[in-house]
Amino acid sequence: MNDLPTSSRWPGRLALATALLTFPLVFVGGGVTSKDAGMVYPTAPLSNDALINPPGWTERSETFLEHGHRLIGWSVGSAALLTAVTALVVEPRRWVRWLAIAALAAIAFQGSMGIWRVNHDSVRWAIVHGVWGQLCFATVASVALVTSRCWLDRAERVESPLALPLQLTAVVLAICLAVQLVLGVLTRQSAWGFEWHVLGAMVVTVLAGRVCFRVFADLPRSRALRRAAGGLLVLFCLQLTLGMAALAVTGGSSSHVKNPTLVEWVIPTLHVAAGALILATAVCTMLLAFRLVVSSADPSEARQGAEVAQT
Amino acid sequence: MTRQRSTPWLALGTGAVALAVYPASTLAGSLVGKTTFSDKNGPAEGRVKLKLDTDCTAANSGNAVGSEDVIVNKSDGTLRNVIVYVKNAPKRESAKDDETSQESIVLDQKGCTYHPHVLTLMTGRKLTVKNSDRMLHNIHGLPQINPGFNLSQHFGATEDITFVKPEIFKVKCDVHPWMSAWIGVFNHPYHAVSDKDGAYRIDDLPAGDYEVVAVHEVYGEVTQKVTVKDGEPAELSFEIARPKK
Repeated sequence: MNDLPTSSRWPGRLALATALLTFPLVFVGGGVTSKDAGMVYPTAPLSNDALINPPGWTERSETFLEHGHRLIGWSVGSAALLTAVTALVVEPRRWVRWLAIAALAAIAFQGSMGIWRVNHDSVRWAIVHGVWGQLCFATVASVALVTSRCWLDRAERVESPLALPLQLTAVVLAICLAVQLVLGVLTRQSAWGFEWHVLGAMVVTVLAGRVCFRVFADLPRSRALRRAAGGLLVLFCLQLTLGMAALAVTGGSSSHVKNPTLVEWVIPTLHVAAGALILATAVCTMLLAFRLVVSSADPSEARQGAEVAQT
Repeated sequence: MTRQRSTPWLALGTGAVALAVYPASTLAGSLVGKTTFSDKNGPAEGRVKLKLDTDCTAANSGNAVGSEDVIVNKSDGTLRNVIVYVKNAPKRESAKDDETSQESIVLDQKGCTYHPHVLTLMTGRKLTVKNSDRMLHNIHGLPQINPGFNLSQHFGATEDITFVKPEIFKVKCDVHPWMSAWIGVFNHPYHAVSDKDGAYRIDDLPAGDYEVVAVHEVYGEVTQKVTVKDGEPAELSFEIARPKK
């Protein structure tokens, strides 16, 4: 059953559009790092004094990626602003309004950091920019989730005696993925921490397997959670394959590869993009686990929870 | 007769003037030598054919261009593009002290490579960076001690840069990732880069005992000692090997 008011569907639509725009931003940003093209334009936000169309920017992949990254960044910022304003006007849930504003602030900070990184030619800020970008994507995806119809669909709620272990594992998975993301960015940008990144891959794979197993084994009636867990499973298979392929073509760090071929920069970039998707999916799975799964030890809480769904 | 008698006096007079004006050059020696690759830790990297794009290939009239980071002459094993400098040289304040160094040194972006690939200059001396290619380049210097710089240049653009502190650093073009050059900045004039025959020459080095360093961008550095005597060329050659793994 869907009880979301018609007027409040707009934040969901706009948040989804923002998330769909943010993903290519993450991919192109990863491409900029893979091609070591972050400094092709010495200053930001203008690219050689042009905001939209600097001369010759489509002629080389390096300029195309960096300026394209800037253009998509402007678009994502605008979309996040629109989402936040719409949420402020029509969204009845206060915490969702704050979440939309937090997403906007995170994206504004991310853009400012990108500008700072270029103007100060700072690799350290490039590392923070790389990590924060993926966290922004997960935040925007969360806004899209909590403003979606499935979030408010009471029929999706299920009871399970294993709710708490599932929720805890999902939280631990999201935290470990964030750490793994930091290790991945460090490996790419500075060639440090490759061994830890591999170890982290093993840990998050085990945790993700556990979350997926619990969802599929214990919660056969929760379609939304099963879809999220299924997506997580597919993404992990893809990510492990891409990770091994990236290792094969770059030796573990993009900073080793000078003048990379198409394969040498696209595969590590896909690895980054899939990592961002995994983090966002894991965060959404975690949120769904808290939202949709109620401990069967206390059935009254399940009923009460369903009634306060709109608060 | 007159001419024969006057010649020694003229030479003596000229010598005295030269001694007064250029005391260092007459009381100094030269340091000459060669830089050679030693294969004791394995062979040198081969010269790689650069993967140029269409515009850069056209800028080179369709000719293949090889990488310049490792160039070993097959005939005698000499190694090009090695910076050789005197480590404990007497310092000078800046290039202003040396009138011959007032003209700027040019780093040209031509055919999507830097010319020269390696250069040295004194602190305070002007480096003119120019773009002779009909395309966009950015010249991105990566110094650790001097302020960093990143200049975007279209065809025909020139820019003057000076450095205030000695260091050796890399310069690259982010638009064309195969393009790189190395700049050695020193606070004295006793430095050189080995040429296409692997030979270098440092002139006007005051007599004394010195430590001399040879630095290669891929194989690192080698230090040797040498004694320079007045008016005599001292010879010092370097064998540079791949670092042990």
